[in-house]
Amino acid sequence: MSEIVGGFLMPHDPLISAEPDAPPAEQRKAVKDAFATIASRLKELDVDTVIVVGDDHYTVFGPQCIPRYLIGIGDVEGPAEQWLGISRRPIENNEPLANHIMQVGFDNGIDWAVSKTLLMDHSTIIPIHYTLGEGSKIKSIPVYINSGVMPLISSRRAAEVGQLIRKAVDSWSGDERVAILGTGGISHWVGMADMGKVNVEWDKKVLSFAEAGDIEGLIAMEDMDVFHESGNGALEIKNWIVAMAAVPEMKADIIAYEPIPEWVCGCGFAELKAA
Amino acid sequence: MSINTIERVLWEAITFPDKAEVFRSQPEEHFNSYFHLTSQEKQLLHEMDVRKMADLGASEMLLMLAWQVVRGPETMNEYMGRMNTPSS
Repeated sequence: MSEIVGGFLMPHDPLISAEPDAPPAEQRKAVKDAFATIASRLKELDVDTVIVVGDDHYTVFGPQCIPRYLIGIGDVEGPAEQWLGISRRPIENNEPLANHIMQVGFDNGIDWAVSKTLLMDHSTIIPIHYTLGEGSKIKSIPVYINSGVMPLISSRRAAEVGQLIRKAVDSWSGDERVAILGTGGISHWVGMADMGKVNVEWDKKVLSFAEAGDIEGLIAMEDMDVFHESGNGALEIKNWIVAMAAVPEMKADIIAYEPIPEWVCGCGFAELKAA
Repeated sequence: MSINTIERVLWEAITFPDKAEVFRSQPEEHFNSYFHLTSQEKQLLHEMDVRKMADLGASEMLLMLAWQVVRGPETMNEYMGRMNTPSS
Protein backbone atom coordinates (compact mmCIF):
# COMPACT_ATOMS: atom_id res chain seq x y z
CA MET A 1 0.00 0.00 0.00
CA SER A 2 1.33 3.44 -0.93
CA GLU A 3 1.65 6.15 1.70
CA ILE A 4 2.78 9.70 2.26
CA VAL A 5 5.91 9.21 4.32
CA GLY A 6 6.83 12.84 4.70
CA GLY A 7 6.64 16.38 3.49
CA PHE A 8 8.83 19.42 3.14
CA LEU A 9 8.41 23.18 2.84
CA MET A 10 10.91 25.21 0.86
CA PRO A 11 11.28 28.30 -1.31
CA HIS A 12 11.14 28.19 -5.08
CA ASP A 13 12.80 31.56 -5.55
CA PRO A 14 14.06 31.72 -9.18
CA LEU A 15 16.93 34.00 -8.18
CA ILE A 16 18.53 31.09 -6.30
CA SER A 17 19.60 29.74 -9.68
CA ALA A 18 19.47 32.91 -11.78
CA GLU A 19 21.54 35.07 -9.40
CA PRO A 20 23.35 32.42 -7.34
CA ASP A 21 26.13 34.69 -6.08
CA ALA A 22 24.00 37.67 -5.09
CA PRO A 23 23.63 37.07 -1.31
CA PRO A 24 26.44 36.92 1.25
CA ALA A 25 28.36 33.62 1.23
CA GLU A 26 27.01 32.59 4.62
CA GLN A 27 23.41 32.83 3.45
CA ARG A 28 24.15 31.10 0.16
CA LYS A 29 25.64 28.22 2.12
CA ALA A 30 22.67 28.08 4.49
CA VAL A 31 20.26 27.73 1.57
CA LYS A 32 22.44 25.17 -0.20
CA ASP A 33 22.74 23.16 3.01
CA ALA A 34 18.98 23.29 3.60
CA PHE A 35 18.26 21.87 0.16
CA ALA A 36 20.93 19.21 0.78
CA THR A 37 19.27 18.30 4.08
CA ILE A 38 15.98 17.76 2.29
CA ALA A 39 17.69 15.69 -0.41
CA SER A 40 19.27 13.57 2.29
CA ARG A 41 16.00 13.10 4.16
CA LEU A 42 14.26 12.01 0.94
CA LYS A 43 16.85 9.26 0.62
CA GLU A 44 16.55 8.26 4.28
CA LEU A 45 12.77 8.04 3.89
CA ASP A 46 13.28 5.89 0.79
CA VAL A 47 10.98 8.14 -1.20
CA ASP A 48 10.28 7.12 -4.78
CA THR A 49 7.76 9.81 -5.74
CA VAL A 50 7.43 13.47 -4.83
CA ILE A 51 4.32 15.53 -5.34
CA VAL A 52 5.53 19.07 -5.97
CA VAL A 53 3.04 21.84 -5.18
CA GLY A 54 3.77 25.11 -6.95
CA ASP A 55 1.89 28.00 -8.48
CA ASP A 56 2.01 29.67 -11.84
CA HIS A 57 3.38 33.20 -12.24
CA TYR A 58 1.69 34.01 -15.58
CA THR A 59 4.44 31.90 -17.09
CA VAL A 60 2.70 28.61 -17.85
CA PHE A 61 -0.82 29.96 -18.14
CA GLY A 62 -2.19 33.32 -19.24
CA PRO A 63 -5.24 35.47 -18.52
CA GLN A 64 -7.23 33.40 -21.03
CA CYS A 65 -7.22 30.41 -18.64
CA ILE A 66 -6.24 30.41 -14.96
CA PRO A 67 -6.62 26.94 -13.43
CA ARG A 68 -7.65 26.95 -9.77
CA TYR A 69 -5.81 23.68 -9.22
CA LEU A 70 -4.15 21.50 -11.79
CA ILE A 71 -2.35 18.19 -11.90
CA GLY A 72 0.16 17.06 -14.50
CA ILE A 73 -0.73 13.49 -15.45
CA GLY A 74 1.43 12.94 -18.51
CA ASP A 75 4.58 14.27 -20.12
CA VAL A 76 6.24 16.98 -18.06
CA GLU A 77 9.35 19.04 -18.67
CA GLY A 78 10.90 22.29 -17.59
CA PRO A 79 11.79 24.93 -16.81
CA ALA A 80 9.82 27.29 -19.01
CA GLU A 81 12.13 30.18 -18.18
CA GLN A 82 15.50 30.17 -19.97
CA TRP A 83 16.83 32.89 -17.64
CA LEU A 84 16.85 30.50 -14.67
CA GLY A 85 20.18 29.10 -15.81
CA ILE A 86 18.79 25.58 -15.64
CA SER A 87 18.63 23.57 -18.87
CA ARG A 88 15.19 22.40 -19.92
CA ARG A 89 14.81 18.66 -19.57
CA PRO A 90 12.13 15.99 -19.25
CA ILE A 91 10.96 15.25 -15.72
CA GLU A 92 9.92 11.69 -15.00
CA ASN A 93 6.30 11.67 -13.86
CA ASN A 94 4.60 8.89 -11.90
CA GLU A 95 1.78 8.75 -14.40
CA PRO A 96 -0.25 5.90 -12.87
CA LEU A 97 -0.36 7.57 -9.46
CA ALA A 98 -0.98 11.01 -10.99
CA ASN A 99 -3.95 9.62 -12.92
CA HIS A 100 -5.25 7.99 -9.77
CA ILE A 101 -5.03 11.27 -7.84
CA MET A 102 -6.88 12.94 -10.70
CA GLN A 103 -9.65 10.34 -10.67
CA VAL A 104 -10.04 10.33 -6.88
CA GLY A 105 -10.39 14.09 -7.16
CA PHE A 106 -13.11 13.80 -9.78
CA ASP A 107 -14.94 11.30 -7.57
CA ASN A 108 -14.67 13.48 -4.47
CA GLY A 109 -15.44 17.03 -5.51
CA ILE A 110 -11.96 18.17 -6.55
CA ASP A 111 -12.43 18.79 -10.27
CA TRP A 112 -8.82 19.15 -11.30
CA ALA A 113 -7.74 20.97 -14.38
CA VAL A 114 -5.54 18.43 -16.09
CA SER A 115 -2.39 18.82 -18.11
CA LYS A 116 -1.29 15.97 -20.36
CA THR A 117 1.79 17.91 -21.53
CA LEU A 118 3.01 20.33 -18.89
CA LEU A 119 5.85 22.81 -19.22
CA MET A 120 6.75 23.51 -15.60
CA ASP A 121 7.96 26.87 -14.37
CA HIS A 122 10.44 27.71 -11.62
CA SER A 123 7.91 27.04 -8.86
CA THR A 124 8.21 23.30 -9.38
CA ILE A 125 11.54 23.04 -11.18
CA ILE A 126 13.63 24.85 -8.54
CA PRO A 127 12.61 22.39 -5.78
CA ILE A 128 13.13 19.40 -8.08
CA HIS A 129 16.50 20.72 -9.27
CA TYR A 130 17.87 21.34 -5.79
CA THR A 131 16.42 18.38 -3.91
CA LEU A 132 16.39 15.62 -6.54
CA GLY A 133 18.91 16.80 -9.11
CA GLU A 134 19.39 15.45 -12.60
CA GLY A 135 19.36 11.70 -13.03
CA SER A 136 17.37 11.05 -9.88
CA LYS A 137 15.29 7.89 -9.76
CA ILE A 138 12.62 9.73 -7.77
CA LYS A 139 9.58 10.55 -9.89
CA SER A 140 7.73 13.87 -9.69
CA ILE A 141 4.02 14.64 -9.90
CA PRO A 142 3.44 18.36 -10.46
CA VAL A 143 0.48 20.07 -8.84
CA TYR A 144 -0.28 23.74 -9.45
CA ILE A 145 -2.67 25.73 -7.32
CA ASN A 146 -3.55 29.32 -8.08
CA SER A 147 -1.88 31.23 -5.27
CA GLY A 148 -0.14 33.60 -7.66
CA VAL A 149 -2.75 35.36 -9.80
CA MET A 150 -6.09 36.91 -8.91
CA PRO A 151 -8.68 35.43 -8.39
CA LEU A 152 -6.90 33.22 -5.89
CA ILE A 153 -7.78 29.79 -4.62
CA SER A 154 -9.10 30.03 -1.08
CA SER A 155 -6.86 28.69 1.66
CA ARG A 156 -9.66 26.39 2.79
CA ARG A 157 -9.84 24.90 -0.68
CA ALA A 158 -6.06 24.52 -0.73
CA ALA A 159 -6.32 22.42 2.43
CA GLU A 160 -9.04 20.32 0.82
CA VAL A 161 -6.76 19.69 -2.16
CA GLY A 162 -4.08 18.47 0.25
CA GLN A 163 -6.52 16.20 2.06
CA LEU A 164 -7.65 14.80 -1.28
CA ILE A 165 -4.06 14.04 -2.26
CA ARG A 166 -3.59 12.12 0.97
CA LYS A 167 -6.84 10.20 0.43
CA ALA A 168 -5.76 9.33 -3.11
CA VAL A 169 -2.28 8.14 -2.13
CA ASP A 170 -3.74 6.09 0.73
CA SER A 171 -6.16 4.38 -1.65
CA TRP A 172 -3.63 3.63 -4.40
CA SER A 173 -2.92 -0.02 -5.11
CA GLY A 174 0.79 0.54 -5.61
CA ASP A 175 3.50 0.55 -2.97
CA GLU A 176 4.93 4.01 -3.55
CA ARG A 177 6.62 5.96 -0.78
CA VAL A 178 5.52 9.52 -1.41
CA ALA A 179 6.73 12.88 -0.11
CA ILE A 180 4.91 16.14 -0.75
CA LEU A 181 6.79 19.37 -1.31
CA GLY A 182 5.05 22.66 -0.51
CA THR A 183 6.98 25.41 -2.25
CA GLY A 184 7.25 29.17 -2.33
CA GLY A 185 7.01 32.05 0.10
CA ILE A 186 7.63 33.24 2.55
CA SER A 187 7.36 37.07 2.44
CA HIS A 188 8.20 38.66 -0.89
CA TRP A 189 6.90 41.41 -3.11
CA VAL A 190 7.32 40.27 -6.72
CA GLY A 191 7.32 43.29 -9.02
CA MET A 192 5.73 45.41 -6.31
CA ALA A 193 6.96 48.73 -4.96
CA ASP A 194 8.46 46.98 -1.90
CA MET A 195 10.35 44.32 -3.86
CA GLY A 196 13.49 43.44 -1.89
CA LYS A 197 11.86 43.89 1.51
CA VAL A 198 11.52 40.86 3.82
CA ASN A 199 9.05 40.73 6.72
CA VAL A 200 11.03 38.59 9.16
CA GLU A 201 8.48 38.81 11.96
CA TRP A 202 5.67 37.62 9.71
CA ASP A 203 7.81 34.85 8.22
CA LYS A 204 8.57 33.54 11.71
CA LYS A 205 4.90 33.61 12.54
CA VAL A 206 4.18 31.43 9.50
CA LEU A 207 6.94 29.03 10.48
CA SER A 208 5.59 28.87 14.04
CA PHE A 209 2.20 27.82 12.67
CA ALA A 210 3.95 25.05 10.73
CA GLU A 211 5.91 23.97 13.82
CA ALA A 212 2.69 23.72 15.79
CA GLY A 213 0.93 21.85 12.98
CA ASP A 214 -1.62 24.68 13.03
CA ILE A 215 -3.04 24.61 9.52
CA GLU A 216 -6.12 26.47 10.71
CA GLY A 217 -3.89 29.33 11.84
CA LEU A 218 -2.60 29.72 8.30
CA ILE A 219 -6.04 29.32 6.77
CA ALA A 220 -7.35 32.08 9.04
CA MET A 221 -4.98 34.61 7.52
CA GLU A 222 -7.00 36.85 5.20
CA ASP A 223 -5.60 37.05 1.67
CA MET A 224 -5.59 40.84 1.55
CA ASP A 225 -3.85 41.05 4.94
CA VAL A 226 -1.16 38.68 3.68
CA PHE A 227 -0.84 40.68 0.46
CA HIS A 228 -0.43 44.02 2.24
CA GLU A 229 1.75 42.81 5.12
CA SER A 230 4.08 40.47 3.27
CA GLY A 231 3.59 40.84 -0.47
CA ASN A 232 1.97 39.00 -3.33
CA GLY A 233 4.52 36.18 -3.07
CA ALA A 234 3.55 35.49 0.53
CA LEU A 235 0.23 34.16 -0.72
CA GLU A 236 2.22 31.07 -1.68
CA ILE A 237 1.72 29.89 1.89
CA LYS A 238 -1.35 28.34 0.26
CA ASN A 239 1.08 25.90 -1.43
CA TRP A 240 2.38 25.10 2.05
CA ILE A 241 -1.17 24.55 3.27
CA VAL A 242 -1.69 21.89 0.59
CA ALA A 243 1.42 20.04 1.74
CA MET A 244 0.62 20.39 5.43
CA ALA A 245 -2.91 19.08 4.88
CA ALA A 246 -1.55 16.06 3.02
CA VAL A 247 0.61 14.86 5.91
CA PRO A 248 -1.48 13.31 8.68
CA GLU A 249 -1.39 15.11 12.05
CA MET A 250 1.83 16.76 11.03
CA LYS A 251 4.18 19.08 12.85
CA ALA A 252 7.13 20.79 11.23
CA ASP A 253 10.78 20.77 12.18
CA ILE A 254 12.40 23.96 10.95
CA ILE A 255 15.47 23.25 8.84
CA ALA A 256 16.50 26.82 8.11
CA TYR A 257 15.27 30.35 7.72
CA GLU A 258 17.15 33.11 5.95
CA PRO A 259 15.83 36.59 5.10
CA ILE A 260 17.64 37.39 1.85
CA PRO A 261 16.95 40.81 0.31
CA GLU A 262 19.29 40.00 -2.60
CA TRP A 263 16.93 37.19 -3.52
CA VAL A 264 13.95 39.41 -2.59
CA CYS A 265 12.58 36.71 -0.32
CA GLY A 266 12.35 35.22 3.14
CA CYS A 267 13.56 31.66 2.54
CA GLY A 268 12.07 29.09 4.90
CA PHE A 269 12.73 25.34 4.99
CA ALA A 270 10.97 22.74 7.12
CA GLU A 271 10.27 19.04 7.33
CA LEU A 272 6.68 17.94 7.91
CA LYS A 273 6.57 14.94 10.20
CA ALA A 274 3.46 12.87 10.79
CA ALA A 275 2.47 12.48 14.42
CA MET B 1 -11.72 50.48 -17.40
CA SER B 2 -10.77 46.81 -17.39
CA ILE B 3 -7.39 45.28 -16.81
CA ASN B 4 -8.32 42.05 -18.54
CA THR B 5 -7.09 42.91 -22.01
CA ILE B 6 -4.21 44.91 -20.58
CA GLU B 7 -3.07 41.68 -18.95
CA ARG B 8 -3.56 39.85 -22.24
CA VAL B 9 -1.37 42.33 -24.13
CA LEU B 10 1.34 42.11 -21.47
CA TRP B 11 1.18 38.32 -21.27
CA GLU B 12 1.38 37.94 -25.05
CA ALA B 13 4.41 40.22 -25.07
CA ILE B 14 6.29 38.00 -22.62
CA THR B 15 5.13 34.80 -24.31
CA PHE B 16 5.40 35.49 -28.04
CA PRO B 17 8.55 37.23 -29.32
CA ASP B 18 6.75 38.52 -32.43
CA LYS B 19 4.16 40.23 -30.24
CA ALA B 20 6.90 41.81 -28.16
CA GLU B 21 8.55 43.11 -31.31
CA VAL B 22 5.42 44.86 -32.62
CA PHE B 23 4.68 46.15 -29.10
CA ARG B 24 8.05 47.92 -29.22
CA SER B 25 8.15 48.94 -32.88
CA GLN B 26 4.52 49.63 -33.83
CA PRO B 27 2.61 50.10 -30.57
CA GLU B 28 -0.38 52.00 -31.94
CA GLU B 29 -1.00 49.48 -34.71
CA HIS B 30 -0.42 46.65 -32.26
CA PHE B 31 -2.82 47.96 -29.62
CA ASN B 32 -5.48 48.63 -32.27
CA SER B 33 -5.54 44.89 -33.01
CA TYR B 34 -7.13 44.22 -29.61
CA PHE B 35 -10.92 44.74 -29.68
CA HIS B 36 -11.39 45.47 -26.00
CA LEU B 37 -8.72 48.08 -25.31
CA THR B 38 -10.01 51.59 -24.65
CA SER B 39 -7.99 54.62 -25.68
CA GLN B 40 -7.05 55.19 -22.04
CA GLU B 41 -5.82 51.61 -21.70
CA LYS B 42 -3.79 51.95 -24.89
CA GLN B 43 -2.19 55.06 -23.43
CA LEU B 44 -1.24 53.23 -20.23
CA LEU B 45 0.40 50.50 -22.28
CA HIS B 46 2.11 52.97 -24.59
CA GLU B 47 3.62 54.78 -21.60
CA MET B 48 4.16 51.54 -19.67
CA ASP B 49 2.55 53.28 -16.70
CA VAL B 50 3.14 50.25 -14.50
CA ARG B 51 2.06 51.89 -11.27
CA LYS B 52 -1.30 52.94 -12.68
CA MET B 53 -1.88 49.51 -14.22
CA ALA B 54 -0.98 47.89 -10.89
CA ASP B 55 -3.37 50.20 -9.08
CA LEU B 56 -6.09 49.08 -11.49
CA GLY B 57 -5.40 45.45 -10.58
CA ALA B 58 -2.89 44.19 -13.14
CA SER B 59 -0.57 41.50 -11.79
CA GLU B 60 2.70 43.03 -10.60
CA MET B 61 4.53 39.83 -11.56
CA LEU B 62 3.24 40.23 -15.10
CA LEU B 63 4.05 43.94 -15.18
CA MET B 64 7.63 43.28 -14.10
CA LEU B 65 8.18 40.56 -16.71
CA ALA B 66 6.56 42.62 -19.46
CA TRP B 67 8.59 45.71 -18.53
CA GLN B 68 11.79 43.76 -19.05
CA VAL B 69 10.64 42.53 -22.44
CA VAL B 70 9.41 45.90 -23.64
CA ARG B 71 11.94 48.27 -22.05
CA GLY B 72 14.85 45.91 -21.30
CA PRO B 73 16.06 44.24 -18.11
CA GLU B 74 18.75 46.91 -17.73
CA THR B 75 16.01 49.47 -16.96
CA MET B 76 14.65 47.77 -13.83
CA ASN B 77 15.69 50.77 -11.75
CA GLU B 78 13.26 52.87 -13.76
CA TYR B 79 10.58 50.22 -13.23
CA MET B 80 11.09 50.33 -9.47
CA GLY B 81 11.10 54.11 -9.55
CA ARG B 82 7.77 54.14 -11.33
CA MET B 83 6.27 51.55 -8.98
CA ASN B 84 7.29 53.73 -6.06
CA THR B 85 5.72 56.87 -7.53
CA PRO B 86 2.01 57.09 -6.73
CA SER B 87 -0.12 57.45 -9.82
CA SER B 88 -2.14 60.63 -10.30
